[in-house]
Amino acid sequence: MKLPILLVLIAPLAAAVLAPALADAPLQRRVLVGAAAAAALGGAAYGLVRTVDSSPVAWRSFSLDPWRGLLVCGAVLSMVAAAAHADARPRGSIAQAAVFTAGTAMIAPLLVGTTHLLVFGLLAGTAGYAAVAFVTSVPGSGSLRAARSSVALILSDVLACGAIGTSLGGGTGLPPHLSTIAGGLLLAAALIRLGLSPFAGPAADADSAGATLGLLWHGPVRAQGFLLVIMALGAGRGVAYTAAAAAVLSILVVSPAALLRGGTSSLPLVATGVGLLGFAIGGAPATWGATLATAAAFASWVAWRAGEGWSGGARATLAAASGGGLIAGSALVAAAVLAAGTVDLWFLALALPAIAGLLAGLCIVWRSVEPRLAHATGPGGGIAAAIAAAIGIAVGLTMAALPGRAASGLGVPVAGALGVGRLLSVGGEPGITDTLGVLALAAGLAAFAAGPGRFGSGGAPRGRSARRIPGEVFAWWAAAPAAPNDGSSTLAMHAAGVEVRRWAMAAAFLFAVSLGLALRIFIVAAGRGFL
Amino acid sequence: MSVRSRVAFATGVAGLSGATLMFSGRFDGSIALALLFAFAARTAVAASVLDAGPVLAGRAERSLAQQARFAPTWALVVVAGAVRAASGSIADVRGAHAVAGLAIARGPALTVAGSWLALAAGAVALVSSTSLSTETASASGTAAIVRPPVALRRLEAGGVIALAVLLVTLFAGPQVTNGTDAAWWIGALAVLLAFAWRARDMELQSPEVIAAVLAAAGAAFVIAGGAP
Repeated sequence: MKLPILLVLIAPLAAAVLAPALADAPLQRRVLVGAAAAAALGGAAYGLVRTVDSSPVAWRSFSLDPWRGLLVCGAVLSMVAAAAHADARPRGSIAQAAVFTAGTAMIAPLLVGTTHLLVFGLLAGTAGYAAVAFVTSVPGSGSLRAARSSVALILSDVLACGAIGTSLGGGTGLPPHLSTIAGGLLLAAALIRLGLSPFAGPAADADSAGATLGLLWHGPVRAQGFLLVIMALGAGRGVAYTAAAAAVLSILVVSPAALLRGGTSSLPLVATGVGLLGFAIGGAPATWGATLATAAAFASWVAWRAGEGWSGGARATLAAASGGGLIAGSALVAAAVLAAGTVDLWFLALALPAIAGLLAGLCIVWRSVEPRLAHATGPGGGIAAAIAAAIGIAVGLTMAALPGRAASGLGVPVAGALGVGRLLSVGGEPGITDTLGVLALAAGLAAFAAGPGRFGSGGAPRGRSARRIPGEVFAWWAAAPAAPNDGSSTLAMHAAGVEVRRWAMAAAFLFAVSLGLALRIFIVAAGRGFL
Repeated sequence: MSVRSRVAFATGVAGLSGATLMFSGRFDGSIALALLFAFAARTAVAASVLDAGPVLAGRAERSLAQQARFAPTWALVVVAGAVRAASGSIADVRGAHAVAGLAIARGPALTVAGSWLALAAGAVALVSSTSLSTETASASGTAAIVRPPVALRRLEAGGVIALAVLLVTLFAGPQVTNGTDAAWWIGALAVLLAFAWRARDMELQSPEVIAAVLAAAGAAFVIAGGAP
C-alpha cells in the first residue's frame, strides 16, 4: 500500500506549486489548497488506520508503522492549520507555498528508514522552516524571534548529526545503535524540538513570532523531536532516566508557569512532558498513556489555533476534546510511575514531582483560561456555542474516562511498534475500569447539564499575581528571551534588526556545520558499503 | 453562566463520583488516580466561581493558588502511603493494613513515625483553605456576606470528605470485614473531619510550608523504614 505516503508527500507539494500561480484568484486558490489539505490529511489518517491494522504501508525508501503514522498525522494536521493561517497574510499564496514545501520537507524524515536520509531530511526541513520564517515574520521582534528559533533548530540539527555521525559502525538502519554520549546529544536535539525544559525558549520564540511558525514548530518539528527522542532512549538506561527527568521538570516547573502566562495554549507543553515521561519509563500502560498524551499534544495546539476565529464555545469544544486524551494519558502514566516507584526509588523520584505537577496544573488550568472562553455565551456564543461545548466536553470526558478503550485503539499498536521499554519492560493493569469511567462520565455530564446556577455577570479580575505560583522563579526555563518592543521606537526596531543580522550569521555558520556533518555521514556510509 | 463555570463544576462532580466509586470498593485503581479525582473535586469549586464577579473571583483566585501550593504535599503523602504498602493500588493498600496492621500502628518504628507525619501533613492540607465566602460593605454602611451557591458548597464538602477518605485509606483504613475494621474507618474519618471543621477558621502561618515539610519528613521516614 503506497497511496497514503503518496498523498502525504505529493498533495502538499502540488499545492505549493499551484498556490502562487493562483495568487490573484483567492477563491480558486482556497479551493485548491483545501483539496490538497484534505488529500494530505486523508492520506495521513488512512496510513495510520492501515498501520494500526498491521497492514504494510511503504513506497520506495519511505515506510510507516503505527508510531510514525501517529507522528505523521500530527505533523500534517499542524501543517494544514499553518497553511490556513498563512492565507490571511499579505502575501498569502507565497506563504502557503512556503508552508507546504517546508511541511513536506519536515514530514519526509518521519518516513525514512536510514540514517543518511534522516539527516538530510532534517536539514531540508530546517531550511524550509527558515524560509517560512523569512516569508511570514514581520520586521522587529517578530523577525528576531523567528531568527532565534531558526538558529535553535539548526543547533538541534548539529547535535543530531553529531550523534548519528558517531554511530555509523553498525550500519545506516534506524534506529541507530547509539553510545551513551551520542544518546545524550540526540536527547538534547530532541528536547529542543519538543520545546521542553531546559530548552523551551525556541518553541516559545516560534509561538511569539506568529501563528504559522508556531503551528509548524508544534506540529512537524515536534514530531521530529518525538522521533529522535525514541531513538535516543535506545542508548541506555542513563539516557532514559535523563529524558524522564527532563519531562518531569517540564511538568513540575515549566508547564504550570507557562499555563499561568499563556493560557491553555500551553497545554501541549504538559502533554508533551507526560508523553516523554511515559515513553522514557516504558512498559505497556505508561506507553499507552504516552501515546494518548502525544496525540493530545498535537491536537491541542491545532485546536487552540483553529478555534481562534470562532466563538469561545467552539474553542472550548476543541480544547476539551484534546484535553480528554491528556487526562487519560496522565492518569495512566502517573499510575504506572507510582506503581514502579514502590519498587525502585528512582521511579519514586520521578513519580513525586510528576504527580505534584499534574495536581498543580489542575488548579492553574482554570485560572489561565482566557476571558473570551470564560464568557462563551457573550457575543459569538449563545446556545449553539453551549451545545458545541457540551459535545466537545462529552468527547473529552469519554476519552478521559475510558482510557482502556482509548488505549486499545491506538496505544497498543504504537507500544507494539516501539517494543520493550528501557526502564520498565512490563507493566500492570491500566488501573481504570470501563464501568468506573462510564459512571464518572455520566455524573459529569449530568452536572454540566444541570449546572450550579447563575453566578452573576461580573468578570474575573484580570490582574494576576504570578508570585503566588510556586516555581514561577524558574519560569525562564520555559520562556523565550525578551525582544525589543515593536511599538516603542524606531531605535528599538533598529536594535531588533541588528540582532536579526547576528542571529542570521550564527544560523549560516551552524547550518554549514550541520551540512558538513551530514555530508560526512553520507560519505562514510558510502565508503563502508552501507548504501 | 460561563462555559468555564459549567466545565469546572462538571469536572468536580465527575471527580467526586470517580473518587466515591473507588473508595467504596466497587472499583480498584491507582492511588494516583484517586488523588486526581478527589483533588479535582476540591479545586472545582473555586474554579466554578472564577467568573462570579470580582468579590468571589478574587477569593477563588487565592483559593486555587493555595491548593496549587499544596500539590507537593499531596504527592508526598500519596508516595508515603504507597511505599508503606509496597503497592500503588487502593486494594493493595487496604490489604496491607489488614494483613500487616495499620500504618500508624504496625511496622518498623521509622515507618510508623513517617506515617504519622504524613497523616499530619495531609490533615494540615485538608483544613487549610481560603474560604470563598466574604463580607462586603457599601458606602451607606450596610454589610452583606457573599457566598457561593449551595450546590458548590456541597461539592466543596464532598471534596474535603474525599480527601479525608484518601488519608484514612492510606494510613488507617483496612479492608472492612468485621465491625472492628469499620470502627477504624469511622473513628479515623470522624477525627479528621472534626479536626477540619474545628480548624477551618484557624490562622496558620505558611501552612503550605508546614505541610510540605511534614510530608517530606514522613515520606523520607517511610522510605527509610520500608514496608513491614
